[in-house]
Amino acid sequence: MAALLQRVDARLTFGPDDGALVASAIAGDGEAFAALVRRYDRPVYHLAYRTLRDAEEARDVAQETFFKAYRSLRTFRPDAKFSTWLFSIAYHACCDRLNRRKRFSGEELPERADSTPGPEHCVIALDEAERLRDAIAQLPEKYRVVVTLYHLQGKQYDEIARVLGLPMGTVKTHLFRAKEQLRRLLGRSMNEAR
Amino acid sequence: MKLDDDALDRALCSQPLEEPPPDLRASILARTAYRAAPPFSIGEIVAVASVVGVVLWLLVGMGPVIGSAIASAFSNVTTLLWLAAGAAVTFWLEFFTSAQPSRALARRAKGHARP
Repeated sequence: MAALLQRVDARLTFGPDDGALVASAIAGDGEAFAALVRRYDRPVYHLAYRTLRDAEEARDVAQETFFKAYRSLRTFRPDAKFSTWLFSIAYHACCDRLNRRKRFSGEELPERADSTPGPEHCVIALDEAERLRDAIAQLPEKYRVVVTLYHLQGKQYDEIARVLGLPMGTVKTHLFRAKEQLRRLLGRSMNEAR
Repeated sequence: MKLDDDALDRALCSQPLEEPPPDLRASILARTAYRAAPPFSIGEIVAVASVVGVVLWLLVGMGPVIGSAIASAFSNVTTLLWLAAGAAVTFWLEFFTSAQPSRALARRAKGHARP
């Protein structure tokens, strides 16, 4: 397990550390910020996509996130973790869009959110990873985002709590309930597949 | 798929990240790190805007003062007399003295100059 988490972390932090890149970017080195973009564009897009379940909106959120980060780079505290700060900007951008959706539709998520076929249509053809992905997509937004950040940030509950602006106990509770729901959903999909 | 806690953790952490649109990175970089530098720096824009602001302020604020000063000068008889004297001297120098530079030049140009 620890090795897996290290692998996830290593995937995100190969090369100079984030703090050094941020310092260079503040000093005017565009290439340093480009390195940060290359390092985090996929995770930020992943978080936005998992939260919003809409590729177009996830793309917009990813762009908005890096633009905001670039403009307010000087406000970044050097003692903080860059990924946490960046995910926090992305998560708040997602929340804004979800609130806008609620205002217009009165629902948490619109029907157009995910254009891919739902698990009920092609559950037999799905492999385990796809089943898990679809099960995550069926979770309520507050659980889905915790699971996504758990995937991106590893077992760093304090970082997840900082991104979401929630107490750490709430994060752990959400994660526990998310896993319970995932087990139930996966169990159901396996029974249907048999 | 086994549903115990460790297996679920492993499955969650080994989930592949969603593939972003191919031009996402380029569009982010174009708006941030690689965006074209503005033609003027912020300092230059602030300096020019300050100068323009001061000039406008002077024109708006001092305009009536300058106007009334000119008006009062032209309503003063002494000033008008001095201006008339200056104009008369200029006229006399131009047309009735031997130098007559502009008239002489004009005559030479027309072929009326004496040999």
